[in-house]
Amino acid sequence: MLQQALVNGVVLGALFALLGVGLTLVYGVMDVPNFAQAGVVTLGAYIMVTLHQAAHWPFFLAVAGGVVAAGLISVATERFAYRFVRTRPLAAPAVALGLLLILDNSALELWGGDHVSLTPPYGAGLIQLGGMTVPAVGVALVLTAAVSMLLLWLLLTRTGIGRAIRAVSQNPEAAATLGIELERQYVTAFFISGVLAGLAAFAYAPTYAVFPYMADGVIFDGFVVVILGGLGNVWGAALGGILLGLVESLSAVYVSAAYQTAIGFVVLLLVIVLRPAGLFATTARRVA
Amino acid sequence: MALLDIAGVSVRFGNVPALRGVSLSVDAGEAVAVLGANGAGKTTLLRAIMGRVPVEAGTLTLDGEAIGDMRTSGLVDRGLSLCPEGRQLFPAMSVEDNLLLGANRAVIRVARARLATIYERFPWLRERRSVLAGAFSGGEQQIVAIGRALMAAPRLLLLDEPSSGLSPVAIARVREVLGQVRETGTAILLVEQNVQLAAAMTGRGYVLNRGVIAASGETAALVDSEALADAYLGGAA
Ligand SMILES: Nc1ncnc2c1ncn2[C@@H]1O[C@H](COP(=O)(O)OP(=O)(O)OP(=O)(O)O)[C@@H](O)[C@H]1O
Ligand SMILES: [Mg+2]
Repeated sequence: MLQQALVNGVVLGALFALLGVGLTLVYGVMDVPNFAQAGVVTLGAYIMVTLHQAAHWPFFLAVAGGVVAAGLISVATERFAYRFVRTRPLAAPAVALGLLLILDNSALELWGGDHVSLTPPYGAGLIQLGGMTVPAVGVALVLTAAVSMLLLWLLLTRTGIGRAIRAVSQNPEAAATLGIELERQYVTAFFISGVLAGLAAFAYAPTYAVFPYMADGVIFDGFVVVILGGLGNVWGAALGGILLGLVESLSAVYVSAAYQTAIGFVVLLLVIVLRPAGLFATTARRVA
Repeated sequence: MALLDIAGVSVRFGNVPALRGVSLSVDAGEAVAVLGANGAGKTTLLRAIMGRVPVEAGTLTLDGEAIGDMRTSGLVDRGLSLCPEGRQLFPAMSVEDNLLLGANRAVIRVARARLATIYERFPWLRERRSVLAGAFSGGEQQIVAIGRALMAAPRLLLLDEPSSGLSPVAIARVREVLGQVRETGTAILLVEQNVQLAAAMTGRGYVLNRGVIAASGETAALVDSEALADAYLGGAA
């Protein structure tokens, strides 16, 4: 019972982390709460399903197509909406919610409201891990999150692209004065965040179901993770994701499943009161 | 032909005119000062040159090429670099990352080569390359900021009050570093309120008073000039 709850917690946490990292990256460079990321997850999942089942692409090629499409959809949200509210921070949450509705409703319009499923070749597989039985899709989710986050961390800390993104998140005007093109960094950050949303779609669509509002609930957990980890902190988001996943899954077992998400909210409030800058806060605003 | 030539430049923020018909020039390899009180428009002048504030009127040319409408990235490519007021480092990044960001317009191989040169010239930076920039004192941050601006390999380095807020010891250190920069033949446009530093570093200068060039000439002569005294008294009025 406890073991199973721990496994579930880690799987759930990996998903939260994957979403939270994308949110924190965008928040870091552009100061927008990107609710629309949930819509990007949804469209990415539908595109994967369509490419695989209707167009008969091999599973992983369909996934790759959906991931790239998610990246491009995310860039479109920046290019055609968020960019115009950059100087009006108060408008950003409204625009973000509006975009989420547009993306979700596009999915509803294009694919209808029925639940469909994305089934990987290993879909029904079970893996024995030290006496526990773990579904293969859960293992795939955790591996996807871990590899994505490692690659993101390498990108942010070891490349010029990442250095520029971190610079913009810490001091945009100073970065611009050095000749860094801010618009290019916004596009890059939104593309990465969209790719992460696509990976989240691939990782969790097989466990849940694909429908127009599939990610609207978990995106909330993604935001809790952003607060837990500290804005702009990639490792913080990773740790915060696992922590929140464990708390939610343990409380589902030992308190009540009905309160699972509510417990996440309690954790959020506690952190805001006790550690306003996040659990793993450093003094400066940053991304990495 | 001057390296940088500015003629009749005006900038306004809303109804507030910050610069009115400012003209000045800097020759290749030359060091020029701009002196003036708080609010005279010194920072605005450097930011206008760097393409960070829109210019309302006037012309700016670099090596004869009009640069008034150019983006900052293009200006950096053409050899301009600004060490900004208040240093503006990236506090949660290492010294080395800060320095490499100064060369963000160059390919990484070139950036690494410049880094090696900077480290050779300022071993102090090499020793602290992995320290976070936010951990330094103001004077140390100023050295990092100058190093970062030099990483662009500028032909003209714009410096906005590098001595501001620093102790006499730290100012002496900044002066030493700027002296080394001068030896490499990089032209400097130095904005300062510290007239001793300006006189030591530059041969020629201008006095900026409420957005207008009030005097120009040898920096050493400007230091004792009535125009400068007026600029400070006028600035207070
Ligand atoms: N972004 C801005 N918006 C509105 N007004 C501004 C802005 N920047 C500068 N100003 C105004 O323009 C004038 C010149 O300011 P500037 O910062 O260029 O002066 P300065 O000579 O650099 O002063 P200091 O010595 O204090 O740094 C001031 O009246 C200032 O209030
Ligand atoms: Mg100033």
